[in-house]
Amino acid sequence: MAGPRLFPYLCSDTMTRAFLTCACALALLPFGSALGQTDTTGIYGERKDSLNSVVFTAQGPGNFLSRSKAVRTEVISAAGLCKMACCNLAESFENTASVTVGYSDAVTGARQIRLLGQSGIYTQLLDENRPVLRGIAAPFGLSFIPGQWLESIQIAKGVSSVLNGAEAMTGQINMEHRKPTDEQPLFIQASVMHDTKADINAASSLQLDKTGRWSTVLLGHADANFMEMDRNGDGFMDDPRQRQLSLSNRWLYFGPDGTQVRFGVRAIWDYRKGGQLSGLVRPWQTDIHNRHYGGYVKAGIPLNEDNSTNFAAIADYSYHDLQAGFGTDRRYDAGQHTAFLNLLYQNQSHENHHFTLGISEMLDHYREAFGRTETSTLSDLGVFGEYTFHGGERFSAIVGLRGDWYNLSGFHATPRLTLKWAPAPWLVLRANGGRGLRYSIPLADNFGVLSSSRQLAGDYLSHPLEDAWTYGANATWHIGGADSGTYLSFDFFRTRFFEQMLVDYPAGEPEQIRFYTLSSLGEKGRSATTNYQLDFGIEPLPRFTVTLTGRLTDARQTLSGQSDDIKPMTSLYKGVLNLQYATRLNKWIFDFTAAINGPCRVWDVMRGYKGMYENGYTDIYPLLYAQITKRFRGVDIYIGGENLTDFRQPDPILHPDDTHRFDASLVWGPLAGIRLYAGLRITLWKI
Amino acid sequence: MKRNIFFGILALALCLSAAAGNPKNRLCTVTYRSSVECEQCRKKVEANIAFEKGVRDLQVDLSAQTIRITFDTAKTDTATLGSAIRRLGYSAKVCEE
Repeated sequence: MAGPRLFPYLCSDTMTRAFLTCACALALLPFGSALGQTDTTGIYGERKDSLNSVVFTAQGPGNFLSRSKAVRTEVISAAGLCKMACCNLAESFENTASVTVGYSDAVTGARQIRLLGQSGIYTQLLDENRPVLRGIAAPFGLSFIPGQWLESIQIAKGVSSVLNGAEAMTGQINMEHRKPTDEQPLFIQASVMHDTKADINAASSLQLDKTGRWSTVLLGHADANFMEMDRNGDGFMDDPRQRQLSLSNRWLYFGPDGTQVRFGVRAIWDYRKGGQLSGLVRPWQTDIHNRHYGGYVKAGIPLNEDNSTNFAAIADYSYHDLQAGFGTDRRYDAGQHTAFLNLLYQNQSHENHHFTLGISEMLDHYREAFGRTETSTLSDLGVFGEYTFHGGERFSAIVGLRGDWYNLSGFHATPRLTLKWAPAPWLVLRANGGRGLRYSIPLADNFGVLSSSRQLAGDYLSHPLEDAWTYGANATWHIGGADSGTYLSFDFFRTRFFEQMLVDYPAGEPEQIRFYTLSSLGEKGRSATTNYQLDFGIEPLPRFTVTLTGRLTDARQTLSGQSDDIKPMTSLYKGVLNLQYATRLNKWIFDFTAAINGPCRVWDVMRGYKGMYENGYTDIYPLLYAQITKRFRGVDIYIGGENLTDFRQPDPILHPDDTHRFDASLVWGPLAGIRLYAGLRITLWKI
Repeated sequence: MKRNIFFGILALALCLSAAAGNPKNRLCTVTYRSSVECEQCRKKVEANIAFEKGVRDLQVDLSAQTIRITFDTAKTDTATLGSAIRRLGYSAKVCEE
């Protein structure tokens, strides 16, 4: 009944505590002597050598491991974002094993990711180092970022900098948008899928004066699908009907004294209607509206001539409104005001010792109506310091410490440590560890549960402070030298929760979904994941790149309503093979991606449904993607296909005809099947 | 006899035209010292110069600030390519190698 146990816990609690003690001690060290370091990428220092900020785009294959970053970081470059349809951020992760992309449920189209075997809510999403799309914006947030707006994505595993708050528990995903300084006055991308889903993106980067002080980028996106598809014949749409419009305007001022000011605004309107086909009599449907408005200002002011000491300020405000109806008798309507302020002082005047000091405030005001209406204000006021020691080119150490006062939970300290050592040019060793803290927003964090007729029970409108420690290590071997392009990388990460909001589908109460905290289980409660990943990349022939990635995940979670502690709906492994061949001058590009997704332990209530999941696990399934791109001067044309094996989760909706047992929230595989698409990109360069 | 002469001339003409038309024999490589200094410059040059007539290969070296182009001499020349680079807003001076 316990199912296959891939591997036992490798690290005991004693080891965990020993590590935590060491990390705390190391984190406190700099405060005994000198305060030190930081990385304010995106705030400051981007234009020291050129107008273009991101150094590691455009080069090499679509996905690669950053050699320079202290934290193990996978980069999806502009080329990687063009390998697939990549209509939005969620789809951009389809060709990486680090991140697993799935659906929250079978009807709303909400996408979710997993990093290190944990839900994406534990991965901090950053827009050029500003935390974005949190709380109730998160369930559909991954579809609010058009892939074609982005220049690159960096996926950092484990805990990293303390400068952006304490919320990153399993990692950070940082998005770099197209820049105001890009010399592309016009970029247009349009694509259409054979199921009538179409999207169009436009971007215009304009430099407004000859000195290059003022520049701006306008970004627009619209997508829609026009037909209801039901390929599995269960009477439910495979994807909801959807309309989305998104606009953004970002500005950069670069002053003669080195001062940088960046500011921008963003608006999103999203509407989707899913559920049963409209032709049915009184269909059960979901009806979801999202509206999001926001603006930000970032300023970096040099305090001396060589910019080695500077002051940076980030202010951000957003409002998100979510109106969600599920059938005729369930609604979740919520609003969220978020204000974020981050003030930093950075000193890099000494070659080997850098430090940053700062203060931040993250303020969220929620209004949630689910049966009854609750309002809550969640505040996190923090002070922080980060010290970096550079021991030449080979060694660096970053020690960070935050002290945060949470209005509902009091004071908490967040220490973090990152080490990087390159004993030889062909070998890089990394380790990091530390604590992460975040307020839980149970209904938004587990949005999929609303697509079910089960009654919710427990603390689903409370906001416990979730608390986790993550540590890990990485070794990257650059075979044949640092510039050979051939590498082998292995990493290990473990996350252990000390407080977490748990969601349970108890087998003994099939009409309930229960919410309770890990601490309520007492001593027997535990929640932890261990991940191992192997990455290999090679260019065996000129312009032909091969990357191969494999991940193993051992996720455990004590749930009072389940028969064992294997975390449900978390795949045990994933493998991804990427092949890319480009002809000379990249005039033709051929991309192929194959992924194998391992089984997930199912909830006990799913066992035996229509004769499925008798062993307690889902099927192993493959996913294939292919794309051919033909490039002309200023124009790219591409055709491709997703999920070419046409694998779909069988019967993704349990009891679709039973109003008391109906459940669309138990999704582990693809819903839409094969998709063919065609698109084009038009780029007009500044001459 | 006339027929043999005709075929002999035809064969010779084909050989000569094949030798003259061998694309490998017509390839030439030139390196320009240029003001390219950033990734944006590289992207812009690669996206445009690659589609100039006759260009067969292209390498942009930001650290050396050079653009190395292999081209078909029957279809373009160094002056035309230099002009194309300058039209993008970058300097282009042929390096003496």
